Amino acid sequence: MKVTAPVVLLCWGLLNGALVLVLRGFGGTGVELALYGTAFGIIELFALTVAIAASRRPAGRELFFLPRSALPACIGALGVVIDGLGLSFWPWPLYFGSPFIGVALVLAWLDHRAKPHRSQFETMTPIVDGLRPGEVPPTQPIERLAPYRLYDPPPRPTTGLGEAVRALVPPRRGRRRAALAGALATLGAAALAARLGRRQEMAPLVDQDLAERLARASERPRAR
Amino acid sequence: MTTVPASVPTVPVPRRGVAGWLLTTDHKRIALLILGTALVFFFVFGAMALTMRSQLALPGMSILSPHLYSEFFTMHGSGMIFLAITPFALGLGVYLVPLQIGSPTIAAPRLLLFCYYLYLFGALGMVGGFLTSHGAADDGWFAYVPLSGSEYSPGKGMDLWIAGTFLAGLGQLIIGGAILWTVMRLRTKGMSLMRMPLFTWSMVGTTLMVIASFPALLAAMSMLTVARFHPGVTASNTFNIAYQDVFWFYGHPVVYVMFFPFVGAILDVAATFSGRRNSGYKWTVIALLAFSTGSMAVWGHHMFTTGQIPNDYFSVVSIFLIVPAGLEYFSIISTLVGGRLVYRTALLFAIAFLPQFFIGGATGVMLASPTLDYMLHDTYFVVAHFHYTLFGGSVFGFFAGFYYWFPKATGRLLDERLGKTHFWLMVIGTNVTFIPMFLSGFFGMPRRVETYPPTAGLTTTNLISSIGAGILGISMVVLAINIVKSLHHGERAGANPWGAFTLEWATSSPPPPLNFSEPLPYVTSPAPLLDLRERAELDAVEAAEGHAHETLLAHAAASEEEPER
Ligand SMILES: [Cu+2]
Repeated sequence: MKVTAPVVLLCWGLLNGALVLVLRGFGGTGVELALYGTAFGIIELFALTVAIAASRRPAGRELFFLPRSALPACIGALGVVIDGLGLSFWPWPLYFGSPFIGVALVLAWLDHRAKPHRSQFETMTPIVDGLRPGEVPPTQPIERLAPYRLYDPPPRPTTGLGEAVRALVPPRRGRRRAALAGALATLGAAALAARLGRRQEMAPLVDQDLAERLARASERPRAR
Repeated sequence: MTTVPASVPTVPVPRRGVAGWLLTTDHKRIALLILGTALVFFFVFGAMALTMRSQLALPGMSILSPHLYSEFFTMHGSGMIFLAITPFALGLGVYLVPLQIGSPTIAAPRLLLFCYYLYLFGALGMVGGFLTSHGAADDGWFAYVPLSGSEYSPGKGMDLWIAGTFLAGLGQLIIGGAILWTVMRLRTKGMSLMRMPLFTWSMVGTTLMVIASFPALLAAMSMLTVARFHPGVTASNTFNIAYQDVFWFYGHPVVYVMFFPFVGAILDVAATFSGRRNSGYKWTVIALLAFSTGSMAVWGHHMFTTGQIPNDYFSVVSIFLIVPAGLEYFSIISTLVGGRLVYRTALLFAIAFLPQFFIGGATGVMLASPTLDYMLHDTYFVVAHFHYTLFGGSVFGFFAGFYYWFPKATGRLLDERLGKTHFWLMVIGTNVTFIPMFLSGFFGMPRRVETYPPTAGLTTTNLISSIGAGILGISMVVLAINIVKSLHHGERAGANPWGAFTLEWATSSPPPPLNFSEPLPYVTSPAPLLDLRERAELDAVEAAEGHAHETLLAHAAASEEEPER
């Protein structure tokens, strides 16, 4: 059976369903069975929702909704918080909080209605293999940060000794002394770093399997 | 200038300044709001713990009055669980899941911002109880009835605690749903479920538990509200035991919500810093799912001593949980053992997690035996046990993830020297604090007492615990210095400072608003960037091989022309 989203959710729920039955066998009370049974129901409902969504739109073709404004969230939260925390004191905060919730719902509805920013996956994240030749990658970076490479070389691990020496002997306290201490410290640090560096050197970028394949590949011509 | 195709979504340029944060629909910013708020609460409730440890350092201290001490342990416990560690867990998911599965956004980003505000103001409501005339809630984090009813706990502090917990819990429930929906529906091309990074899988388990168990927290808070309006209901033990059932139906899984994502973080950290793929990927996934399933079934082990539940069932199921837990351990250890480890701070935290969480887990198995639990229930043994899981385990796992992903979120590396200082202080502090607590509990010290008699033989263990807590306090100062220093002067991280394998490292640090500005590779395994690297290396080898082959042929041809000697 293929591991798909609805299957995972369904099975997770069913396993819990089985445990509900075991609990019943061990004499679980009504409250316990009702509690656990409800949780089982919630998960199966979620699985059903995902299954329906999957049947309407295959995975990877889901529509994204990009809200244009976060204002409804703030106003709605304000209303719910006034209602929720205010209720600790008096019932009348309900009159203050509820209008905010109403306004938030209307704003959210208008946002959805106006011109939803809906988009399919391909236009949001281009896939290398999916691009036709000459096609411009459709995602335009909004604030393009410094261009990056996928495989920046990992920084060399430091022992911290160099920094410690620099912190202890600031150059202001006489350059000659600092230079001498620095030279000594550098020597010591270099010796230590050489030792530690050998131990801490970055793991090879290839795994064992590939290393073997590489070794075999390099042997082949000689074998002939 | 290139023209943008009509189908391309346009997103408003993010606002600058405070409004850019408070009105954001970028999942990364929402996540940083959640994590930042949680970190502040972590410090606040940690400071409360230090105050309590000062009070307990010697018998007969009077730093905290008995009543204030009750408020402190209640707010420390409920605050750390509802407002610090759970938000750490969910905040990491909100930040990383869309990046790891190659999605430009999270499902329902605006709803997520709404949830952040519920969490923030719910939290402020809970803490605001300190300003009321009766003080903050003081009934322990599980607020058993009838103690938490209006008869025995008058005052608005408890009301605010209930309302705040409800709001924060509601927000966290919705956040969990949004993360799970994102994983299920918004994965990039080639990212089948069995090619998802293990952190994302751990978030699947986490959010499943959130969806199944957090409604019970809302139900429990509703029951408390009823009990406070109609104290008569608590006259029946049926109601009181039902409350315990409902509360612990949330209360046990939430403990797992508070460490699953960090196990996921450790699995990712282990792979990256050992330079190889996670070993036993399939079985780890199965273990994560089985573990989260099992966690739903064991809540009764918190109620053994009530005598109102089938103890045998809850004991057996609780002990069974060591099977998936063991699988996860083997996965982490076997990933590490075969690799060549690079001891960065993140890896150190991941490694320390293993023995410390093991102590927490093993004592948990002890407590899963009703016979032992009758003796140890509500003693410091239990306190030591869950601090080993939640602090020695979860918080260490969180810091592994924190040091690992901080450069991704901020663009700057944390200082390694300060990081390692922080790490060692935390290891020493944790064990000096919590190991003596096992003994205190074994010697019979109950939880939630603000002092103890000098003749009880508890002075030494308590003093050692308090010294350990002081060391932990110092370690947190080092962490705070490191964060502030690195945010301003930290080394620039670049896209992939660790040479990691998952998709969040295939974009700039911090990532642009829609996460990826460069095309993503077609995902072929849980380590897509390693695949690319290997493919490139193999191509190079084949090219070289072809070249070598040609050279060989040329040599052969040349030698054939030569006359034999
Ligand atoms: Cu439990």
